[in-house]
Amino acid sequence: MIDPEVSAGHRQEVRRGSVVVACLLMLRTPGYGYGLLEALAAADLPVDANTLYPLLRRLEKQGLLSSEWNTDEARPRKFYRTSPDGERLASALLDEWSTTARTLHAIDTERGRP
Amino acid sequence: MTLTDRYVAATLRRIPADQHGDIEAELRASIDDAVEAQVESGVAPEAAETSVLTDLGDPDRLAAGLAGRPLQLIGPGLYLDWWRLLTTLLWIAPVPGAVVLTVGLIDGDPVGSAIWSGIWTAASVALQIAFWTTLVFAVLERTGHGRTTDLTGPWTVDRLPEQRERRDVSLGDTVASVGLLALVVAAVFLQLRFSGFSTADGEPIPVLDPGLWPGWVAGFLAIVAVDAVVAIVTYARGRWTVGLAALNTVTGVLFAVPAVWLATHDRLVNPAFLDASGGDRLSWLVPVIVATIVVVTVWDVVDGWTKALRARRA
Repeated sequence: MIDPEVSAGHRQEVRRGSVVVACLLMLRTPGYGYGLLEALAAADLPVDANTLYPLLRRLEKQGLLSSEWNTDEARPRKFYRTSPDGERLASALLDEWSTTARTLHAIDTERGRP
Repeated sequence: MTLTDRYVAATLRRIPADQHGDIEAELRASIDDAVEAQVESGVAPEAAETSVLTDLGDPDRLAAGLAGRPLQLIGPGLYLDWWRLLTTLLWIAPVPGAVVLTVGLIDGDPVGSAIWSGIWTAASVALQIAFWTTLVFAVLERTGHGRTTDLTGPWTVDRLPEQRERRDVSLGDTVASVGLLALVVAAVFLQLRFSGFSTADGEPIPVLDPGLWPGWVAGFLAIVAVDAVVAIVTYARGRWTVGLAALNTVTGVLFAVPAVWLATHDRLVNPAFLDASGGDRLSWLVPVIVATIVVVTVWDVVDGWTKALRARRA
């Protein structure tokens, strides 16, 4: 029996990097904080609000996202969009993920299951 | 003032002023969006607000995330540098302590108060060293040096500690043992002149019973001398042997049994010293002496045997 806390910790570690890739991929179409939170949850990649909002600011600071205030609607919202740098990084990270997944599956088949 | 107002204010408190406008507007919009979504799915507005803010969690934690501030005093990047520097610097602390102790004894302060001042000084210096070192590293962590620079350069195999020839008895242990014995001998002689109390005509009152001189004291010094020889022979041989452990046990028993007997028969501590110090004030002295003698002796004997038996097995 695995300690649920241990297993949750490892799952979180595996998912941590995936949130960055998902944000960069999703924000190729501009989006705002809460909208992105919903979209990620709908895509079966739920993130806590207090993780996502700081992450968006950090990616913006690193130049991977650009932002713009949209004041057309009643509620002004800050829209983020993946920058060209972010776009390049997203493809590289996605490749990395696919490679890692393939490698892990290969190890899994090679060693066989008990 | 709504809960949201209070939440936003609490978050902004920990965020640099130049980012307030942007963060406040975005945070409010995000909270309003989330509340609105819950209300649309049929939750009461107050309950929705409470639930959204609860999910966002501790505003200080959120603020640290938004401002990119670390939530640790010293992170893993700097921790080892901090620890190595601190443990090195702390070696300085006993020096001023020893100076204060020596000056106190030379000035004729009571032995107890001189030792106390020495310990107090060493502890204060250690506390200052720990505080300022930690402060500097906490500032480094917050100014962004935490992740990039390694203060002592990259680690190489040249930095591996020398593997010394395997020996159970370190030089440090031996120096400490012999130094402790020398200190005890010094204390026996120093207590004659510096006990903190004098007779009416200015003669110092020794702590130990004058009736112990010369026979008991001579016997005691002989035991100390044998102990010192045991310590040095053990170091020279590099390990404890059964013979040395047995000899160590004999000296331990020869010291402890008479010392405890003397203490419990009121023949160890000078009665005049107890009277001069106000009688009851030092009523704890004899039990503490007995307990110390027993604990130190048992530890010393057990330590010798443990190391001797371990060395034989190895």
